[in-house]
Amino acid sequence: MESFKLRQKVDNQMNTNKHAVWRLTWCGLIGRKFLTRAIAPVCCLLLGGMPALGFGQDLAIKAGRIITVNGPAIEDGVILVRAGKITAVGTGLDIPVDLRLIDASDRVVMPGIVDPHSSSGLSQSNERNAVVPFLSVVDGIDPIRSYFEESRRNGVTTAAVVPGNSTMIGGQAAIVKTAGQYVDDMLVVRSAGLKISLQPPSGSRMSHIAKLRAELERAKRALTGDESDGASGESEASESGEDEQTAAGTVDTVAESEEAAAQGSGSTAQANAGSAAAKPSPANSAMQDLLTGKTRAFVYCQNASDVGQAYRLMDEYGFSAILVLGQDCYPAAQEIAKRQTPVILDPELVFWKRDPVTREDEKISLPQKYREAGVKVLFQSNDSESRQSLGTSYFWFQAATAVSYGWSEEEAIAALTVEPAKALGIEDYVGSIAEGRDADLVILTGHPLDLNTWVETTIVDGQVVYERDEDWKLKMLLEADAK
Amino acid sequence: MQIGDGRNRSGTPRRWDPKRVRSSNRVGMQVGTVVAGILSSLMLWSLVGDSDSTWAQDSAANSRVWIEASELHVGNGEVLRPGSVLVENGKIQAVGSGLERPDGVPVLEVFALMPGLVDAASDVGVSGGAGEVTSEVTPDFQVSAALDVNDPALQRLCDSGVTTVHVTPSSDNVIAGFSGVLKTRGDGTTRWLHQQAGMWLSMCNDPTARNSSRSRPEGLYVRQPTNRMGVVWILRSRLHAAAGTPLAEMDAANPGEAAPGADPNLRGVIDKTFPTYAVSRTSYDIETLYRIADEFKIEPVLVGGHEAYKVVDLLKSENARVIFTGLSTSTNGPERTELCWGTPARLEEAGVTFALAGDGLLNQARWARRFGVSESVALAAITSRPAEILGISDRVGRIAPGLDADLVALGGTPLQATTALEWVMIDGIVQIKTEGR
Repeated sequence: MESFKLRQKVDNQMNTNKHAVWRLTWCGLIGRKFLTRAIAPVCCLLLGGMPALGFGQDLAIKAGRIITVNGPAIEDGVILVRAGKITAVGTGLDIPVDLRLIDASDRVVMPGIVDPHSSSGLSQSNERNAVVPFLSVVDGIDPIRSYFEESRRNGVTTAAVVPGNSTMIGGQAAIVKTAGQYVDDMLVVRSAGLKISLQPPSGSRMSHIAKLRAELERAKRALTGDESDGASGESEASESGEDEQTAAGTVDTVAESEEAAAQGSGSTAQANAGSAAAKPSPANSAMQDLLTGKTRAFVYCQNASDVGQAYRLMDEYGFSAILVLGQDCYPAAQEIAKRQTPVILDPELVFWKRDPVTREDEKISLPQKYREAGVKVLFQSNDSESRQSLGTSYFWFQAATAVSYGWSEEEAIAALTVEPAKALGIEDYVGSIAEGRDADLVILTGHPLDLNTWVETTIVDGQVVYERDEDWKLKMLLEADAK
Repeated sequence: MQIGDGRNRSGTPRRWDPKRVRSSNRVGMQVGTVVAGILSSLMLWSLVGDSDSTWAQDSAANSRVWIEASELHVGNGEVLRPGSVLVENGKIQAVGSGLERPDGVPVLEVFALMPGLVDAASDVGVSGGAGEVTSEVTPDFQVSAALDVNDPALQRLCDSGVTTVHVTPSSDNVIAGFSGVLKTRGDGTTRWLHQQAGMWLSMCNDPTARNSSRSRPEGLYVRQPTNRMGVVWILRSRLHAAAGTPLAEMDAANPGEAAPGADPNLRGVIDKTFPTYAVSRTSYDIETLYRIADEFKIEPVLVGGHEAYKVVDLLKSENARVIFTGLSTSTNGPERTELCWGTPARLEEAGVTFALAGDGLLNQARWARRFGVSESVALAAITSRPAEILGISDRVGRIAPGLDADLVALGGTPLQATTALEWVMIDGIVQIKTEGR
């Protein structure tokens, strides 16, 4: 996707180094809210192995086993890293003297895990207003949030940070690396897709879809140059919004007035977005990028009927999407298989479903259902308080669960690395170990899906960002005496 | 009979269909209605069986089955590689490595075999709530009186490998009543091992939860206690009344006569005619619990124990038995206790006997292993240890001759998340068989 602004790593390194001190000061002076809310975590991070500023240490990693993902595993191999990139992978490589040697010859090295969908990096993931395509998570990512620390601890090096599932058009996702003190240090793709939710926050699905369609219609009109709605500019929000409603036809009017009645202040913002859609502007570019194929959508589907609606909208308006599936979407697995759409599963992979008529319980295993239908699925983690078990917080556990329901280990590991990278369009940079890829590497004590394996070291862009030896939080959790 | 009500309210014997083929269920239910009361449930099911599954028939209670496993986990830490088991009449007849297989016995081959899991504390299946809001002391209550043996939750437990479950009253009461132990067979036949397994006490904040002065009490009656001190006082005063001795003299070796009108069930706690279980999670509640236990010379099983790592020495000196529930939740639990994944490993290191209990029991053992518990203790903590703590180790918890044929077959080694559970057998009958998993 052309619009993805892949970051200039080397430039960033320089910037980061030069301005490190200044930035810290700036943070202290200006980021008052930020600081008061997060002073403890800041201290924790600084003490607990926060990556030192400065990217791209040159490394040579001797590995007992390298899981390259795209190719066969390499036994007793070496990975050379320069300026944050992998420069060579193989056996019997000469190790230049200027590289820092990491001896992992009794360890397993795999590519950093790619999290295809998470809202945990945001301090608040949903908006009160239903239509906010102009928002970007880049403005809301909080690098201090425990999500990023947990990610590094668990070997997740790249994450798509996506607005939550409860806002109709929730804003733009971004792809970031999980290490860095400022969002700009972390960015891989600034505008990685528009979040759309098909789950009505209240009211009927009919009106929800009608409202969504009205927004898409408006953006489409603006693209085709049909400005018959007479919008006069962003500043005259409410007035032009009303014009808009009249011109947009019955569906729009019904949807808008219902929206206005239901949400009060929401209508202003929506009208704002609506009028903005009429002319190209930063406010509507996200919608237009979607319709011109410059970016994709992340479409949240609560149930199988939503999947059908998602496909209808994708066909009508010609956009592509990654589907974020709720638990009840599995009856649509056949349809998804036909389309080969990338899909992300609910974090609770196995659950019980009661038949409303017979009251019989049936156990549903999502990895099994989708695999049987021929759908390649991606996982997401759930580190919220609502999770039901420890396992849903860990990608390795999700993958291991899939293996217990019939997946091969290779499929499961690919679903953590190269498959999400492909779905996000960044497979040339992350998700596998090969020459030219970003040096995002995880050094493990054993097989990635083994119960007793721990992440020993996490490397992002050639920078060691996590070391288990220095992880005092983990020590406290595991060793009762350390408390 | 109501068609479409899978829960079979009439209480006629009914067996879960491992393949969930409804037609065979229907046959079972209708025949069951007609002949209920004439035939025992076992007889019925050996007749009706599962028309689509030879499994159940092969392993029905009155027949024999031979099981060969590459890994046979006995449950007490011992592993036979390989091992075989002869099941006859619902009991384990023989176990060993290199046993000779008798002729004409159907064979099941599995990778790993372990005893059916024993969940040492669960609130599963109690219909209509397990707490009593009108009184904080209800020693005469029994969960066995309120247990819905057809509750689908029992089936779910069975599916997860749990074959025996200790169903407990709610911790909302200071003295909550009797728990019960039963098999998770969901065929509507009552499979009690103990209908009055033990008396449950709450030495925690739970009994005050609904009585806080800041909120309106839930029931019609305002009841005690409203704080933790009240919990301790109610517990101590009721035990004292049952013991019938002035507190100062409680150190005497023998308790005196009970006060007139003292509750006989509470007297049973003092006389240790049945086991006593006490829910405590924070370290200071655990300390209080054992202070009271010492005063009244009782030996409660500690349930909860989330902060046990802080009081390991106390637990050791009290020779405590612990039903640890700290791994059943991913969060800090009901009392926001401190999270410490290392607690089971710390208990093992100190030699304190513990069982794991609660949701996802097999996964709990896996997490315990990941968090430092040895493989043998992690497996024992969901099989033989809970059976010992509950006093039912002569029936379940190990794969040993004479014990009930409650077995779990796995596609790989038990303590890996990649391992699939293949079937679950209770009393010699395969209850759950998972296809393609």
